[in-house]
Amino acid sequence: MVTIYDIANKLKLSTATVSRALNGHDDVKTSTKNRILETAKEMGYLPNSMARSLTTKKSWNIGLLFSDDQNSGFKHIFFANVINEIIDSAAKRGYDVSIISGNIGMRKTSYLEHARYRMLDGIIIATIDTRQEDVQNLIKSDLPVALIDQNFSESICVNSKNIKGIKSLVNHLYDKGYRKITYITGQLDNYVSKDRKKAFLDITKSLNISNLCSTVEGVFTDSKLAYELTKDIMSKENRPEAIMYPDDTAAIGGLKYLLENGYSIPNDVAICGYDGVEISQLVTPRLTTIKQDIHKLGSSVTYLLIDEIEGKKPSRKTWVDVELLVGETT
Amino acid sequence: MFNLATIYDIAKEAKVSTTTVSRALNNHSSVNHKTRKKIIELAEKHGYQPNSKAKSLATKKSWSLGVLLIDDSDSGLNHTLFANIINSISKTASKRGYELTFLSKNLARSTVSYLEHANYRGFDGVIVANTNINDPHVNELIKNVKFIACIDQNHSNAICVNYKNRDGMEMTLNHLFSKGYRNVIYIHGQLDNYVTQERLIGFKETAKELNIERKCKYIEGEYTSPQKAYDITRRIIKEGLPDAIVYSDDYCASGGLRCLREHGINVPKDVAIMGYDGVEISSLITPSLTTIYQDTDRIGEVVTENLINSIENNRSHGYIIELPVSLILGETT
Repeated sequence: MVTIYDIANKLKLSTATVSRALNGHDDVKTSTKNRILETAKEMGYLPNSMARSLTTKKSWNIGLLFSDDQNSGFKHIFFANVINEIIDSAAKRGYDVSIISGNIGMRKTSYLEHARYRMLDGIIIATIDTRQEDVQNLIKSDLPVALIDQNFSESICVNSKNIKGIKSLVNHLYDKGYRKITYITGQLDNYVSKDRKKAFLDITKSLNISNLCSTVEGVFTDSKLAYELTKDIMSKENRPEAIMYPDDTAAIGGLKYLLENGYSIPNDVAICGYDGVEISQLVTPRLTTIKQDIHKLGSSVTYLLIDEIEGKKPSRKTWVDVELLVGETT
Repeated sequence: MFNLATIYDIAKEAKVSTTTVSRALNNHSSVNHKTRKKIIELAEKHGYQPNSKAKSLATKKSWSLGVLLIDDSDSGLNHTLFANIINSISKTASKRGYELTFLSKNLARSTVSYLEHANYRGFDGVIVANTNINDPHVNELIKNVKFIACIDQNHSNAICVNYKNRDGMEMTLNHLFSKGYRNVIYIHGQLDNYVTQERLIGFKETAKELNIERKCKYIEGEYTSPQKAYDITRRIIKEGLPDAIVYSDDYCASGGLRCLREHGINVPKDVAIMGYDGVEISSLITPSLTTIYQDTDRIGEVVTENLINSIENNRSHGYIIELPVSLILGETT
């Protein structure tokens, strides 16, 4: 942290002069004052009032760790929306958000080393394979960590009500008279996909329609794959009456196949998405989907992490509610 | 546990100066191989972890880039186009060993200017995307930061990597004209935006060349606001449909399409429409959008590589790079 002493040293002036210049006193020669102000700016000096709230142990910087199979986290609409909330919420509390990659100046480092190097106050972890050793070390360290849609008892976890979401969707389909339902899930090595698949199996069992329903493994936000899988599903003898997709983007891929091939929705087949992102309401017919509370997910994980960083003891597990959005596809 | 040793401890034990230790750990060529090896071993033995602040004061390099994406309403990642660009910037920066930090007007419990914020963090460079450079704080940042790059902007102090916005509208109007459309309504973006200004110039110049100036109308809309596009479209339906409606982007075109559909109007039979951006939704909706494609992977790569090259070669002058756009033929024209 740059102090008045550093500036005085650099300019070979007294700290008194520097201090007077920075506080706007008239008794400093204009040319000197300007030199001091310029140098202060260049060196990143922040006035005392701010410096007081900055301690040398704190950097007011939070790390964000995420990745996925295709290494393109921001490209997934739902995810980009959540990160948006995280950045906004952090900014409101005075924190910056930095993206951790485990690469600093061409040296490969572990995530923990990276966090230490940057003196990050805490880390938010989202959508990454938490079984990786690197990530495990981060979670087990003394650095404050908060996770989205994961399950670790030692860390702050903010979870969307995935089970409730799936059950609401299936109940809705059942109420509308659909019995033969195929659920295209997300990648099954993912905690969220596993939870949702289990919820699907549970609810179809309790509704006594297990033998009529099936699941297929798909990939989140992969509209092209969803297109192909839909083609596959509809070409079989025993067609479903309704198809559930892993998310809205995938559902729109499936919808494209169905519309191109003359199927009427929902008369020939009903479909549902998940997430409730903007495009789900822009397509025709409008998607029936589960709306996740993106604002609450992003802001909660951020505020809880910051509370932990600032010494308050926030709750370890927070649930964020979901909402069924009935559209025109069921 | 970290920072168990400092450069001073290692220097003492190796019986060299702190300058030598610092140089050895930074791979400076002036340190001989044997000495460097000894120093690195000692550093590892003592669990030396250089912290970024101290290191950056010494070497002035932080291996981090600031990204200004936040404006007053939100950080811009809700806009698919920018999310894709940030994705590309992030990947490119990471490949070159740099990390991104998002910059705002808040630091600790105070409001600071972007410039103060950037200086405090000691970024090697800054990228400005999706913000209004007429904002005095943004302007101050661009004027004073040595290594700075912008996307779709025009500032002499910065490396500006822009799409060929005028070309995009030229392609748009030429395409519509070739399909026989003459009366065109252009629902463009906000007027205080550099991109809007460029696109309007391109559109109007082409309209003049094609002799359809008087058949074109302009309405100010809002980027990525399907609801606003929907409302404006409803007005247009009441006042009488043109041959074609050009929207400011694909999301708006989707909103407009929904409105037309709900009023029983067929696209493209009753009216043609076009979007802009070429983001995923343009090809997923039915009918698929005719639109102008902007390569987000490329612009992210180019802006980041150029900024990093400037930083690493210590070249701080501004310049402009323009990237081509292309027409995607959909079913809406």
